[in-house]
Amino acid sequence: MSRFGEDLFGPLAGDAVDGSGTDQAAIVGEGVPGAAAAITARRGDRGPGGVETVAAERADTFVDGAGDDPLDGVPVVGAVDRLDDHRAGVLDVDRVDAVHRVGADDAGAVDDRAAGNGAADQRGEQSRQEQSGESTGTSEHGADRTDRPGVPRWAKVTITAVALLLGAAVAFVIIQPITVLPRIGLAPGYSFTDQAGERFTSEDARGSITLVNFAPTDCSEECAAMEATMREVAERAPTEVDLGDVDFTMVTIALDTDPAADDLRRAAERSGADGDTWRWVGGGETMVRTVVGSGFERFYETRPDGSIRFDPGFVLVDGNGVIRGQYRYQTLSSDADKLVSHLGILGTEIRYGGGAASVAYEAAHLFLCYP
Amino acid sequence: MNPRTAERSSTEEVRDDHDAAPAERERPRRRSRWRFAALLLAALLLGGLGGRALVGMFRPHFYAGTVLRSDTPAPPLDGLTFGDGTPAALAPFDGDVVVLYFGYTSCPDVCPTTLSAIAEARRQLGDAADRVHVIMVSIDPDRDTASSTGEYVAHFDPDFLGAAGSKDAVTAVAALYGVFFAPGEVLAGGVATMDHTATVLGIDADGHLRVVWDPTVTADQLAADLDDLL
Repeated sequence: MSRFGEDLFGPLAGDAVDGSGTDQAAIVGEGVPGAAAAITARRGDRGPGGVETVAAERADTFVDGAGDDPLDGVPVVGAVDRLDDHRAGVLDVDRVDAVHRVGADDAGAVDDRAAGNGAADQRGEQSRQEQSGESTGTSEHGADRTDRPGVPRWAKVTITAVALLLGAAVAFVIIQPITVLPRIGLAPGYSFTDQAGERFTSEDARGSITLVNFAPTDCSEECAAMEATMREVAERAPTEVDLGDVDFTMVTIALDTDPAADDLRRAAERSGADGDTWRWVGGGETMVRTVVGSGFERFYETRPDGSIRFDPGFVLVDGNGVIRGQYRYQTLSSDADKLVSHLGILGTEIRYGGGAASVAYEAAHLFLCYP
Repeated sequence: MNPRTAERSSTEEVRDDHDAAPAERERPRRRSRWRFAALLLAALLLGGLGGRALVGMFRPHFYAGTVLRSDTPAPPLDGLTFGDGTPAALAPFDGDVVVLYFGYTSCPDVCPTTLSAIAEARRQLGDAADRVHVIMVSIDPDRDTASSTGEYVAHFDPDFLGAAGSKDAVTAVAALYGVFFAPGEVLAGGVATMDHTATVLGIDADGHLRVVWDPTVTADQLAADLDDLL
């Protein structure tokens, strides 16, 4: 117990010597074994007079004649608790921390005593043995001070910060508060002619979100469902999707080689393309093969009878000319529902992905937060 | 007296005493709450800083251009020829960064501006510029040759390379890089212009098409992005 008493009384003993003997005496009255030892140990540091007075008062209070140390076995729980509170007040720290600090101080004090005063060290050893046999009221203090090494405060903060960071990253990946469409690749550049005989290029579509599909101009039955999807998207996009200031354009690339403007116009009327939001466009063989085959990587071939076999589908291109979605035709889910949904995701990224929020959106790309 | 029993009694007494001094007990609790709040704030700040550092680790800086995260191989320059007559290819530049631009020698404004910015960006890289190779492909096959294109770009930087080819070859290559071109208006003096996509393309050291820059990208932005690509 001398460690308790010594630690607790370290500064208090000093205070007692300095003149606050009244407080010291009151605390001593609570019964703190080892206090005498502590005071005795510090006598040399603190000087005579006040410390001796306190020690005398203490001896009068606690002498029970048992053993060489009159304070052996004297209950200390309550007194230690009170002293901890007092010490906490003195040191402006919480109670448990006061004990830890006391423990640290105590270690140093024990070492000093061992070097300068062998008798005091022996008393310290006896008190520690007593402390280990005390009730649970002080065991936590004893355990804190003697068994568990202190974790530096900086380590606690760092560990907490790292845990928070990792937790946030895992939560971001799992919860996916931000969903983005992947940047699949660069859409091919093109220059075609539309159903009005006007040139329409990939630069005309820059800045707009473009939905592209491919079909022959004379496609009817096998293109019916695909064209119905395009019509549904054209109807729902303006009301269900908020793209901010970004336009939405739909382009159907004719798989015919150099289709006439009339062929494009008939195909546009059949499918419901208004010529403004939705265009039918066509061009030469090299351009079509390069754009559709190599660029958008869509299969098509012209049969010997002139008919065209092709792989239907849709491609979504953003305003920077980057492919953000490739959709096979007639999957389990409704094509129109999926396209409208993905248009909404793009619209959200356009509206909110600028400025400081770009960090979060880039993180979403990094962590593959895809629908 | 059993010391332990006596201790428990003392404990109870002390605890009764504690209840009688709520003000004193409240002080440590308040200090504990403030300490917890300070600890939480410090942890959040550190977490934020750490998150920023983590983002920096995976993405050293925020590109001025659009970054293609998929490992899309850069399309080959099949059918094109460099100014010295050798077949244009990207393979010789494996391990280095290639900046690709599609323009033409009679270009009045966009091409010179963009090429100047690229040259300045390369100068800002210092010694690292040796690992950045710039190729301009002419999209005016009717008037430009590989040789004339090479001479044109050398005015901006002697290390720049020019490439040209037939219309079909240029069309095929340009389309795969998202570039279109077509005859434009005729300026005063009879100079025919070409309408074309003026984006600048960045191919990383692994041969992947990685970044697409808008033609308005500044030299500083380009230099920073190129430095990161390296």
